[in-house]
Amino acid sequence: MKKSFKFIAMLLVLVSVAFLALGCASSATTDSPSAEDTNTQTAADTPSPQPSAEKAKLLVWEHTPQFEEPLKQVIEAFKTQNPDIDVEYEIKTADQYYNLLATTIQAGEAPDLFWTNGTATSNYGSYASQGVLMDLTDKVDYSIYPEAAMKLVDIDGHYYSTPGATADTRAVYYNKDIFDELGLSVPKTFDEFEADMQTILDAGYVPLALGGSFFWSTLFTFEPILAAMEPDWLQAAAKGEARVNDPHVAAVWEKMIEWGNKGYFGVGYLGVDEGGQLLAFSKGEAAMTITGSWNVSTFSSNNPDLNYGAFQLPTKDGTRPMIVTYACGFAVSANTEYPEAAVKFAQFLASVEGQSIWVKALNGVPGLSEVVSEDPVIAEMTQHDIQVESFYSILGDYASEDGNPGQIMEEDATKVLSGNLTPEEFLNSLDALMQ
Amino acid sequence: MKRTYSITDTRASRIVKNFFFVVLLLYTLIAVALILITVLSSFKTKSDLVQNTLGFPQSFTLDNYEQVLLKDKFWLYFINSTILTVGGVALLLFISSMVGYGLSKFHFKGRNGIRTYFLMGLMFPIQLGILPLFIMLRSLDLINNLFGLILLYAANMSFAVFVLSNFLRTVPNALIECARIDGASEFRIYRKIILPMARPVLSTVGLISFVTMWNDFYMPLVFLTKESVRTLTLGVYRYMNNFLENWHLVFAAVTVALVPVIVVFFLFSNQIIAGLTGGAVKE
Amino acid sequence: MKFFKKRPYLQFISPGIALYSIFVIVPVLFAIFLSFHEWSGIGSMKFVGLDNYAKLLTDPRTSEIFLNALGNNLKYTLCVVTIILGVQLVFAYLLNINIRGAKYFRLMIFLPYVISTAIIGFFTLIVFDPNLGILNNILGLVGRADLKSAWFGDPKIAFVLLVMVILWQSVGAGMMIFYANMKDVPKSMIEASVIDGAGEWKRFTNIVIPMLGPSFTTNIMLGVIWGLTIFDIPFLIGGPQGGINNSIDFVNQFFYRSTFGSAYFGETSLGFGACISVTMFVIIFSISLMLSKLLKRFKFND
Repeated sequence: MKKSFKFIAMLLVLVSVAFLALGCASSATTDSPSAEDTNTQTAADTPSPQPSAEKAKLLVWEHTPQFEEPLKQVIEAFKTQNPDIDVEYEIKTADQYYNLLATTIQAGEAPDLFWTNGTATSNYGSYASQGVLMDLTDKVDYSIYPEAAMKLVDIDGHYYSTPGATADTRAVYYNKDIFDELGLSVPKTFDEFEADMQTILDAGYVPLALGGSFFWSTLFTFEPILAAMEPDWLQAAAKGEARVNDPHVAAVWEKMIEWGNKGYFGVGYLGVDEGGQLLAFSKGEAAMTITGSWNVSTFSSNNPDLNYGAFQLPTKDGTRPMIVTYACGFAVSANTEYPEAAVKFAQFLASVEGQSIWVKALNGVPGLSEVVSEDPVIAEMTQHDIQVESFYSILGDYASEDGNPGQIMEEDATKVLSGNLTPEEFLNSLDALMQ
Repeated sequence: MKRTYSITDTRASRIVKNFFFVVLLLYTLIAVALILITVLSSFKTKSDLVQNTLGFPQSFTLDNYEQVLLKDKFWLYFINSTILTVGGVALLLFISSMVGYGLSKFHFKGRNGIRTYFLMGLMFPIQLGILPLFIMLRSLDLINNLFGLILLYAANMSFAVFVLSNFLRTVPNALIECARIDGASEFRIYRKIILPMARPVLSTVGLISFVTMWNDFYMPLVFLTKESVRTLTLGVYRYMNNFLENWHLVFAAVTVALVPVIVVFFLFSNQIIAGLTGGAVKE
Repeated sequence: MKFFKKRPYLQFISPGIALYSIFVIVPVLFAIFLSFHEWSGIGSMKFVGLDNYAKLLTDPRTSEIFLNALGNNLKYTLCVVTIILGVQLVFAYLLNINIRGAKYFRLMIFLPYVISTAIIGFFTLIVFDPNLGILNNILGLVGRADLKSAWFGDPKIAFVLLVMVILWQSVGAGMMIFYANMKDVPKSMIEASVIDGAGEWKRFTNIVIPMLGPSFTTNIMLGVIWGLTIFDIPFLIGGPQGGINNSIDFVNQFFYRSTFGSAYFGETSLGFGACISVTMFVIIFSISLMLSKLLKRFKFND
């Protein structure tokens, strides 16, 4: 009995080999109508990499499934306008993205276009200097972009990527039904916001859901609170004129710890991760939560019945600061087999049309003034009085040569909330790595 | 359940057995509850899920399964996972049982060294090795090819070799010597004597390896990037990475990934028992 | 051909050695080579000799985190070879003596092992999430809201909870190995012991356990190695940072975040990561060697 099973299994292995030998040819048909083999053959024969009779094939890599839908739609629109170019995409996981990317680049199998986080990561610069990225400065029209958006793609005056379509921000999302039930309206000052949280807590809801165990949730909640408590410090720091271990910043951490102890973040918030935080809001157990603008459609797609809005956290005197971080787009591989087609696609990504499709599909905050979002929540959340930088970006901008304060922050921020590290110790360790 | 009164059934042991019965019942209840929640939730609509996350479905819908199985091609991922896992286990058992036999019933210089050599595979994290592996598989043109991964899985034989070499040592040497005297070839001995005696261990190792391969996420992530060769686990991860948008699909996807393994296990546990009670008894 | 005929064992072990060496050992050699370099994953590697090792062992911040993680691994491994092994043994024996419902239990105990890690993470959310999870909600319903906890967010209990979750998930595999070994205990010996008037416990300790040599060796060695290299579940629950205050931080997570950073500041430093794995390899190898000798002493090995 065992032997016959083994035999069957070995047969299966042989069958699968045969199947896959054929499968490789048929998979080409499942994925795309063009035949892979003929393409590479003609590509090797003719001097021009874009054979006139055959289709050009592009492979695009994205780092997170959240952007799959926008990418898909942009590709569809592009393919309609360029029937002679075929585009496929692959979505990776955020953690392993750079490792996988590096592996394929090293092995010579780099995708034609791939997402990067631009100058926000240190490897962007090294990719550029290693000749991995195609210089797009003169190939793509960047005229429509504001300088702030270009900062992310600029290395020494050369542009190696398309800018992102969204200017991301963070906002306080609030449950309109709970607010109505408790007779609350959107707070106009910081003190009103604090008082509202107490009211909500007394009524039995979680005032402000926070995923304390996940660094990025903590960061995206910290940054707006910092902006609302210390806008002056923030603006000075953005110009390099203030230190991060300023007592004003420590006061913000103290405030968060105080709120945690009062129960404003919910019981045991240090055990909640990002999914738990967003779910708590989406299910109506939390009245508010602070997270990024990219999550607008997350809530409605999770709970279509949720009645919610979003606002910027105001300062003591009612000014509304809005943190803006530009997103980054796609770089082109320097070794792509289809440079002309790749540049065409990059140009499309960077065009107003491409950006509109992306913004609408993602339901994000548009980075270009030419692109307008029709979503009411986005409209509500972008009402602001002053624009400010994100704390994390400041850490990146003014980090010292070898220092990586971003990494230290990622490792230690939660320890401040749990009481393992005082705000002073934490901020001092960050400051030590700054210029 | 038939109550068998065997010679080992005394009053004291009955009390002990009943106590542990209750303990085990409570312990396994956790798994039952969680799986029940998962399966039930897979039939819920989105709004039902949100308002009534852990309760009984208000209404039953097959939409989630339709989305997962048909539109999102989970039937294809299922086939891929099956080919990958079955092929991988078969190749692994075949090669590792030979190695296990060679390392347990033969005495030669360097045997311990080779045993240790095989153990080393357990001591390194995989993620570091992907660049050389990628280059190797690419030169064999086995990227995005299930067979390439079958080879990789079979190559990770440290666990199997270790377990098998430990167990095969207990095969009575007398049997093997007799067969040798009778003039049987080494391979015949392997096929006719060793393999049948090793059935329980082989089934166990096969089962554990099956589970490991079925649930593996990292290797397919690196080497199976095209949709045509995607596996079930990758499919489930894609949903989980965008959890809030997809959680209604996650339940259905998880059920799809879980049910076949449970079925396989059920079938094979019977096999194991058949093998154990019908196998050669060692005196 | 005669070379092979003279050494029949070679016929059996060569295909395995070949396959294994190509796909497992070559990457290991590559990793060792990498550990002496600084490399971001693309482009050129910079030779730095022992710098990586120096940083790992002497840099105050890094070594403190590394030692904390290593400590967790050792604590955990101890739990594995005592608690988890014990539970596996007891469960296997219960199944062996054909307790009521054995067939059902066999499936249900093994079942959590079958569930892939992603789903375990998902179950953890359902059970332990402070806002939405079953535990806190039940506590609230029965009027013990004072016991509501952050569970994994509480650094004092996170480690214990983690061990419990992993125990739940992995008991099945080791249990099956013990079980398979127990089936080899001759029925005649068991029956003889009953006739001699031995109780269940005596039977368990004096007859069954001594015959479990192979499975003890297997489970202990594998348990130790596995305990020192554990990654999946702590990573899922505690993330790459290893939970609150590094309470469930293990070496492999430390390796992961040191090597790959994250998508957002993208500092892949493969050289340092390789150095961590080589160091761990040396540690694991030494411990396994000592363990192997110890097991030999107790005649579990030969």
